[in-house]
Amino acid sequence: MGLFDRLRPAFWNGAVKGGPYRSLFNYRRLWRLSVALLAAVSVTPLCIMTVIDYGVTKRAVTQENLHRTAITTSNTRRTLSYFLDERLAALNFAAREESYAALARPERLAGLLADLKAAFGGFMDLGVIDDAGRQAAYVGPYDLLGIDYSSQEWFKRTVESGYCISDVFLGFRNVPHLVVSVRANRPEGGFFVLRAAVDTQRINDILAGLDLSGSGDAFLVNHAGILQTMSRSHGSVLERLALPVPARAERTEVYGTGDGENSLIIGYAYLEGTPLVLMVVKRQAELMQPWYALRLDLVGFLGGSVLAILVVILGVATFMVEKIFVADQTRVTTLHQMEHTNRMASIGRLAAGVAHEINNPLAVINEQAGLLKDLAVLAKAPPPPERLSGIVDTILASVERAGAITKRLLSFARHQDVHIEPVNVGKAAGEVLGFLAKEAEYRRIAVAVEAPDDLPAIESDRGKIQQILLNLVNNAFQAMDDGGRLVLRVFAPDPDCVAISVADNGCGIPAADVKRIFEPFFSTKKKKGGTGLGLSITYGLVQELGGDLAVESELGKGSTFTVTLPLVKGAACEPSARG
Amino acid sequence: MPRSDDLLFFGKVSAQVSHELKNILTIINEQAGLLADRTGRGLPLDPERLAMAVACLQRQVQRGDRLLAGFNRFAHAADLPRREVSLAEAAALAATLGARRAALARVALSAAAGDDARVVSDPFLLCRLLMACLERALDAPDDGRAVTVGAATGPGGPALVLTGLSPGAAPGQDEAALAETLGTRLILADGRLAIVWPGPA
Amino acid sequence: MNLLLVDDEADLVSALAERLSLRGIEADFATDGDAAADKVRARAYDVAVLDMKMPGLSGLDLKQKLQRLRPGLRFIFMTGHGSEEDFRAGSSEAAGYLVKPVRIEDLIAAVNQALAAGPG
Repeated sequence: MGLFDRLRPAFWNGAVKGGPYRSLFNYRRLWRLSVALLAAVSVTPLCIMTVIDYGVTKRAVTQENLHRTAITTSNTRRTLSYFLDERLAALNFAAREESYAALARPERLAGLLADLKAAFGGFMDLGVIDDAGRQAAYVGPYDLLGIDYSSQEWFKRTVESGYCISDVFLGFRNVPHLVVSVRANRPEGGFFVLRAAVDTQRINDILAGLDLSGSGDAFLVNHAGILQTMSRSHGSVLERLALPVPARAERTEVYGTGDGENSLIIGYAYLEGTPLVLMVVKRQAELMQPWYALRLDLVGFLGGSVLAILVVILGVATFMVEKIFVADQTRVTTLHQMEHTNRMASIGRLAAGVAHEINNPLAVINEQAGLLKDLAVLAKAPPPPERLSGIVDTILASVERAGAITKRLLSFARHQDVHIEPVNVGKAAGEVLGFLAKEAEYRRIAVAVEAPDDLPAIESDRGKIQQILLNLVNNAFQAMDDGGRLVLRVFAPDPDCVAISVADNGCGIPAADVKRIFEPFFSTKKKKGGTGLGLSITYGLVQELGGDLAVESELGKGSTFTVTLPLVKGAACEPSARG
Repeated sequence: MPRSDDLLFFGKVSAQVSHELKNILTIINEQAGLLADRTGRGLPLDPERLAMAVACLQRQVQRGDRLLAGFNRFAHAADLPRREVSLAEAAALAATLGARRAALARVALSAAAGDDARVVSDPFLLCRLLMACLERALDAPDDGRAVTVGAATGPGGPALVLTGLSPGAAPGQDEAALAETLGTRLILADGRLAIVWPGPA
Repeated sequence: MNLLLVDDEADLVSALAERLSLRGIEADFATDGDAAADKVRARAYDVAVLDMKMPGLSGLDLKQKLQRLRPGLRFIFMTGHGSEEDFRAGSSEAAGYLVKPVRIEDLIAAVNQALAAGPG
């Protein structure tokens, strides 16, 4: 809580000075709006870009994985195909080079096998089978001489197609093996089959030599889904593969399967001319490892950026709004000071006016007393009693006059402090006019007051009301030429308010300026001097009292200012347009 | 320091002036009334008595005149919030405005003669400060019961000096706040209270 | 010596006129601008003593009016407290003003000074 309080900026609790009418902005809202807008504008594109980048990168990584798998599979298929085709080609060559009779001799066959092993490698055994399917000659680790292969699938295929590469089967030797066989026609008619068992170790070596990441698996299956080679995690030789056999395709294909933790990428290729299918199986999860790391970085970066952006935005917004707030408060303070100065000056003028007024009765008393003395001293004869009486009466009358003015000064003095009390607006108006009576007389301005006695008193600050009326009447005086007419009317436009209208027949305000007349520093006065603040100050004072100030004016005819004040501050009031 | 107190001060001075005026008018009223009574009853009016009455009337008129002159100057102090002020004039005004209070406290208050010093300041606020200090002095004068107020140019800069304070007299919170707002210092020493402006830098 | 006193306070100006005549100075008075003008047309006054502020007419305006009627007329102004600045600001007269309430000796001295200074 303590930290939050310290962090909370000055403007959060709103403008302290000047009340609700004076501040230019709602600072909280301004701040919130700024932060929200800036954050939205900066963070949104960033997020969108991150999401796009995320998608793009993920796709790229995935594609890369598939691509790599495809390449691996393709290359491996080629290698395996070449290997098997090479074995087949060797056999083919041998079958063409030698006659059946030569091949059927065990020494020759053994020599051939030795040569094949030495030159090509990858042959386990070698056998010659006659056209009836009987193995006529055999060299190899098993006892297979004389076996009838006529019913074997590989034999049938060899007879039919001229060659065969078999899948892995147990056969008569009861050991998983793979054979390649070629059919060779005999010149005298008939044919024989030359068959060799392939050293599957070579195939395994090829498969094992693949650089597959982590738990990647490469193996061969036949078209029925029986594993032909050892696999790391998908079963042993001659076991059925748990995965479905992929559909036949001419080229290398890659596809994804499974979901979540167990999703796999499988690349496969049918080895042409063989019953074999190469399958390269990789776990998605492993392949995506780099992606996961990248993803974390991406999200982390996004998070960090967003945080940084928010911190900066908050900081800058707070700083700026604070500055605006301070500037506004300074403005309000300055305005207050100017208003105060203005008020003091106007009060000073009132007081000086009073002093000036008392001057005259005093001067009269002075002359009359002097005359009294002169009559007694300088005249030939003592003054008659009537004369004396006359002079003394004049003095007494002047004393009374001065006394009335003094009383006014006293009442003026008493009302200078700020406090709420019941104010009879009509009386206040009368007091204000009393101060200006001399000037009105001097300039021959006719002043009329219409103030019914039954109007309710309002709970308000008498000093401020007097100030308001004083400003308006002074304005009216300034607008009028000598000989003008001022009408002050006090009335109740509705039961909750009292209104005063000050109507003059002076120069009026041009229609274009009427809306701006209460603006600070706006003035239509032709005379130089004056701050242009008078009406704005008056307006502010009326607002402070919870009232309303309105003006109606016609250029050349005159203006009427109407102040409407609530009976109790805070009561709603229908401002009256017409006074 | 709330400037709303400016209004209170204005009211206070206006009230004082009006009270004194009332007194003056009362005296005039009495004298004139006495004359009226005598002539009304046809009583003889010897020249001496008449001369005394007239002298009294004229004295009161002069008194009122001086008071109004002072009040007028006071009222005009509020015209501008900042202008060049003659400290000698400010001292004279304070002496005039404080005359009544001094008389009530039975202290002889006078403006000290001397050279003038000028400062640029808020004349109304300055008057307020000076009157507040003067009140302190009048409330606690030294044994001589004579207080003077005048302008001076000290080593620190231009100053207004009040003399005749008792050791117990001291400026209070309000005076200190006012002095600060005006950019001055209050220096109290040996029964003298000085309001000092900063000298040339 | 002929004086014209102009002030809207009748009690003041009539007493002053009488006091001056008791001292051997002839003085007439008027309480408004028109009456003053009439008097100036009718008689050759040496000095006119004018109140600065009267209803409808400032002392300076009256001075101009009367000067046109009688060019050689000299003027002295009377003002109350609060009008001194206005006077000093608005007038080019270096001397010749008194503050009310005036002492009669001061008035007579001012009149003599005005006469010695020559025509206004």
